[in-house]
Amino acid sequence: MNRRAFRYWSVIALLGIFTLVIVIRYASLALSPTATDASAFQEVERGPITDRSGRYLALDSPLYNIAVWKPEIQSDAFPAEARRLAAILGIEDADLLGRLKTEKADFFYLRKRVQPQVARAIQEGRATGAFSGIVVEKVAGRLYPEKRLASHLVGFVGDANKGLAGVEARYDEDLSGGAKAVRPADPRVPFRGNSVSLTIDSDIQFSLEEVARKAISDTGAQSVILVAADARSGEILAYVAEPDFDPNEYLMAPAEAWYDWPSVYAYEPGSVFKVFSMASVLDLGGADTRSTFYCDGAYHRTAPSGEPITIKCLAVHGTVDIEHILEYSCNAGAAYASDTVQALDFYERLRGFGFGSRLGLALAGESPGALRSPETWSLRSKPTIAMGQEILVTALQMTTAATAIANGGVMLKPIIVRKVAAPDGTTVYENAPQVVRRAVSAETASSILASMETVSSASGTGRRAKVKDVRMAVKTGTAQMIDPQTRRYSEKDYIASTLAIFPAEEPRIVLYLAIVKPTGESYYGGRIAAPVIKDATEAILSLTDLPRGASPAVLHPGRIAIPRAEAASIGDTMPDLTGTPKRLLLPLLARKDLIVHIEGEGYVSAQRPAAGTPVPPGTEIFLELK
Amino acid sequence: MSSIRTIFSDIDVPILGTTLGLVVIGILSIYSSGMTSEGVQVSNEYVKQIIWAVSGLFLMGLTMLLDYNRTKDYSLFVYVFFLLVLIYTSIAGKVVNGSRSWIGIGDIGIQPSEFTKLATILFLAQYLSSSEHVPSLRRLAAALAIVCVPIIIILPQQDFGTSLVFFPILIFSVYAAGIERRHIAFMLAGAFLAGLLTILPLWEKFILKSPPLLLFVLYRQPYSYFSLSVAGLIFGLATWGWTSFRKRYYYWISYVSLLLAGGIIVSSLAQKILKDYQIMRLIVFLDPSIDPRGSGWNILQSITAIGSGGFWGKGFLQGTQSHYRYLPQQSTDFIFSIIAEEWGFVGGLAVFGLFTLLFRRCILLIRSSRDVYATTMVAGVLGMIFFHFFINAGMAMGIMPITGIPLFFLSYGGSSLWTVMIAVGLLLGVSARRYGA
Repeated sequence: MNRRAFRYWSVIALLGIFTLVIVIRYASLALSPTATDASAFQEVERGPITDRSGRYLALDSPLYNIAVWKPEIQSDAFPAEARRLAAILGIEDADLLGRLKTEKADFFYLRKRVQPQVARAIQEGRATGAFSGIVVEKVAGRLYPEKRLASHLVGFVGDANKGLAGVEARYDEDLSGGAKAVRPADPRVPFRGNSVSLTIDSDIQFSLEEVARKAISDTGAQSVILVAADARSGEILAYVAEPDFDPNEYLMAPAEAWYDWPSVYAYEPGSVFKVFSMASVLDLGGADTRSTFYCDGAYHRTAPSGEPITIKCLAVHGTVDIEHILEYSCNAGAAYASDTVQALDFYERLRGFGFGSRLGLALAGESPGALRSPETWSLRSKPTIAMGQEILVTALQMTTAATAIANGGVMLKPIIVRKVAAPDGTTVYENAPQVVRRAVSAETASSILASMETVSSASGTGRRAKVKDVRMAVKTGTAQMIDPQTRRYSEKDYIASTLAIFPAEEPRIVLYLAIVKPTGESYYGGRIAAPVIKDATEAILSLTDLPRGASPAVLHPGRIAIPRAEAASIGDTMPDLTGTPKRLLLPLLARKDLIVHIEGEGYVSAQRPAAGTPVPPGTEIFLELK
Repeated sequence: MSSIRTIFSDIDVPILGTTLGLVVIGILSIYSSGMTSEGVQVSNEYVKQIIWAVSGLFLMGLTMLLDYNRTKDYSLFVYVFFLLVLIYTSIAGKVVNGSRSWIGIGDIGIQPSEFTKLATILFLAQYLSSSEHVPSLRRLAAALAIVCVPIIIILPQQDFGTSLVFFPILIFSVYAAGIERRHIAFMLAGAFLAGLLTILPLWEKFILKSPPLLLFVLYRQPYSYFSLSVAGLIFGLATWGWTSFRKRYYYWISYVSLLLAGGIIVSSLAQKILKDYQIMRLIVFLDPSIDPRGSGWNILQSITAIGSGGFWGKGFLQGTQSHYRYLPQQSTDFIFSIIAEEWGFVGGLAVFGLFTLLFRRCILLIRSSRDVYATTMVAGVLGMIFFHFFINAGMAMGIMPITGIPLFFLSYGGSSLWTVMIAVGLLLGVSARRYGA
């Protein structure tokens, strides 16, 4: 082969190889069936979130984005239409024309996530030939029909219907179908996520939110946390944090309002913690119910170095036993009681109540609080922890630990999600009550519970929490807050809190309240927190079948027995929807095959077509509400 | 000298046919790219492209009629003229898509860099054909200089891709003009090594973390200074050995050591001159997956379009990726994705087939022509068209970096269409005269 021929063939070979690479790559792209294109985009319908009785707290409903596609804008007709368009969209027409001029991109959004009626107005305009170049784009929207109700727990979603906070974020995988779910083969069939049903009782939640809101306005506090749990199952019945927000418009609320106080905020609990420290001392056998300690207005001890240690008490309580320590909230007594047990044992018992570790409730940002290990304790640490300082807890930890006292010493795992169900109603998984561990003996639990009952007696600090005819176990607390600037206890910032367990003879409800930074004339837990507990207890009693006092329990559910809130659904024929409330009609709006028009507020008073009429896909349904 | 009639009767039908076929496919695809999802034509690009194509046909005929044996003496003037236009553009040109590469004549904007490619091909061919008795290495150096002048003018104003096209032009031209292979290999290896050593430090710092092999002795200071002195020493000794004993292996030892030394010197200079972010841009250019939110999106949409076309395609004007505006720059950079979506694998293969036919004709022309000027010119044109084809199609499929390089014949744009049609005119001229003269 001569040189020239070699050059010739080498060029051919090189070009051939390059071309072959391109062709092979092309073949593998074009002939592999995996790629999906824009037309085959599958809609995902996010599953709803409901309360324990099936009431919708979050559900999908279509929203619309309104955009401009410049090439189709008719420059002669548009200025005349701009006023009408601006009125529909609720923006200034000068802004609209200005943006049309200044926007560089051919495609830009005018408003995002508008309600269907806005979109309908524009589509009607387009049908008559107006609004050329205005694009209406359907997007998945999330509706929170109960607005502020349990907003911290429910959370909210972002732009692409992705969960950003609360259960929406934590159960995002379930709600959006998740990676594991089987998608319908036909891409046009909308794919639906699982529904999540919470343990929250909407009625209790609503009432306690009212109570908390009143408390915040009465005390001028920065925040009020109120948690109610079912003492026998660990289910959280109400999860209240004020200030709250409307997840429909979460961006309008200040970001502080999103703060999930009950699980995220860690603080020194103050005297309420004596319930758990005294339970630990009793259970360790350091002291029994007959042991007494002498309070002369302070706790005194001399360190081995000779340095005196003194911790002040609120008053001179004289000779006190464990019951008195709780009843009067005697700091010196609690400190002396803690001297009867070893630091390591004491620490182990408190860990047993769940302090210093996460509950696994699995909300984003859940705090473990803080309980330092005994080797780092100073001589002051043990007595101080016994009084509820030098330890950080969350409201949820306090509530959970209290289930051990309420349940004969056995602590239950807090549950917020009862059940996750597939779109067809089958259960994906269910959270049954779950025992975490035995924290203390049954005997200890019952004597602590009995002591706590004296707190609600006429001489106890918790007397203002007492509801007539119901035996209540109560403990109040007032904790100074650390001033982050000076790193010392603040003179004006306090957390007033109260724990209540009732009915004391057979505990059913654990209720915990914390008022953060009250600014009113009083900051004492017994004075400002206990009355709130009373209101909350009254509310819960009126909504549940709990017996009141000696009167025989009236076994009615405490509210008018409307049949279980079944969402309206339309099958092959039109049902009679008269009397159905509006919120139960909402799922109908999400139906892709029917066009449902709802007029007015309240309950269905008239419907078209009439009940019994067959409804083929595409039928328009008119519902008039009054 | 052949008459006009014989020239036209000797016209190379396969070249003309493939050209017309590709241009028509291009116009149809541009028409489709202007369609919205609602079937409304929102762009008049296809009308403009038809005008460019028709006028381009005249230019093609005109170029074919000009006898390259006579015009080749003017190639220096053409080359210098376009260099001046380039300089003017870089100072007073219009900025489009972030690069100052356009000059406007009335409403019409042209990109002089496109035509400069042709001017460079012509001047390169003229130089190489008139310097056959000059030593090979010196010819190569001169050819490199001819190509580097436009690159240096273009590089600061435009994207990296446009200036890259000059390298295949150079390589194809010098290879066809008979420059010795080891010299070409030296140039390629040197450029590769220098480039590699320039980007490796940052690559290692931000992406790889662990040093690759033992290469770090070549770019990490102070090792690189030791390596440089060792390579320099070996080069000195081997050169002395070569001049004294004329043994082959001395030659190759000095060849390799000079390559290393040169690579280290050039790369350390480049690192001093180039800023970190400029080198990073180079790295991202080579591997867009580093920056998925930037150019990665375009690639993804393009791959989706190609994949959704399947075997038979969705049919003309039925592409959804393009009509929903998922494809960026769909009438220029990503025109191939539209073809692949609407005409499927079959249509894409047909386009490849037309290109392959054109390349085959070019190679046949190179083989049958005995004139060094004509051979070199055809090789340069082949290098240019092939590079555009390979890079653009590769980019649409996600295996080549994103550049602003259009797909010749198909992409929308007057300058690139005229350039390639004039280039085809050159091919036709060579083809019609290859048995004459």
